[in-house]
Amino acid sequence: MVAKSRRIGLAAEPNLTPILDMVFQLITFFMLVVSFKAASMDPGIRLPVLGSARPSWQETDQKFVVLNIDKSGELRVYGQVCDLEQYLATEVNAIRKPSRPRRRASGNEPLSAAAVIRADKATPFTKLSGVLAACKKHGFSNVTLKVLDAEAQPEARNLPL
Amino acid sequence: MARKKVRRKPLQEASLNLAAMLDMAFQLLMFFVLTFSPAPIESQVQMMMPLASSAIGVGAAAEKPTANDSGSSSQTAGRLTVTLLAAADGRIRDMAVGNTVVADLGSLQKELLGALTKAGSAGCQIVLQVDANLHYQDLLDVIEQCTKSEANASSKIQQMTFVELRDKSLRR
Repeated sequence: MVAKSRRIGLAAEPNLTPILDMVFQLITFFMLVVSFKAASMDPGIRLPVLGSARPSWQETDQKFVVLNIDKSGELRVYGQVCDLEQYLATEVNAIRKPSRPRRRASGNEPLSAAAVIRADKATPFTKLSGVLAACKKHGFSNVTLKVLDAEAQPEARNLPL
Repeated sequence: MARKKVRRKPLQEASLNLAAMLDMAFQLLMFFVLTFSPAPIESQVQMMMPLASSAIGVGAAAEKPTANDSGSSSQTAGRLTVTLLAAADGRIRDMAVGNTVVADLGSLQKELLGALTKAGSAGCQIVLQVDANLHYQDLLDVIEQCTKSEANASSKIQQMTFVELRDKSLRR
């Protein structure tokens, strides 16, 4: 009688721990670089190109209100057309709201917040001056015009208006 | 009396099935990869506008927003008017520094440089009379020429005022 040899099969299970580590590394990277505030920067607006513009820098404590102006002069908030006066009034009220109930916020004090205007390069001056006048009316004295750097993106200058 | 051998059950290793967790991690990763969009690096031009109550100006200039580069008074500074007219498509058509018509941005810079040099240490206040139809890009190009002229001249631009030209008779 021949003894049958029994082969014991080995179940090969890959170790998923290293691949899971790499995936978590990638997730952490994308979570750190994702910016939901960038959604407020309308990508459909083509900014003008300027050679002498300074790199963007804002104080971390400074509040700012972003105004995306398309080439027809309309204010766009997350892709939707909004009324400029109403939007500015809402934002200014939120900024002037005192953090401490005891401190009264005067409506006539100049705003410490800045208005950041991202206007399309084909926006007519009359629309732009209307936006600037509205900002001034609501107390903004610090206004920043966003542009593209000519050195960083030389091809942007040649795009048609 | 023989002792009974107590057979202990062999220890079973508890293995954690990571396949489900890996699936979820890949789902999250795909979400972030698809929503990730690198934005172009933006630069900025800062302006300080005087408050409405403290606006000083003549005629229409008083109602328009002005950009004040420094806090100094512009009473003793020379006043220079730059006129920009736009074509029907909004592009710049004619430019003039005072009464001198200039052909292009290079000539504009030269005229501004000459005017700023003449103004001397008192500086200069530039009044930009801009056609209502002029495109924003062209306006910024002119402002850039003004700042370049200031950098090359010994004089300083104390204030820049924008006046909107609404007279359609100026357009061709």
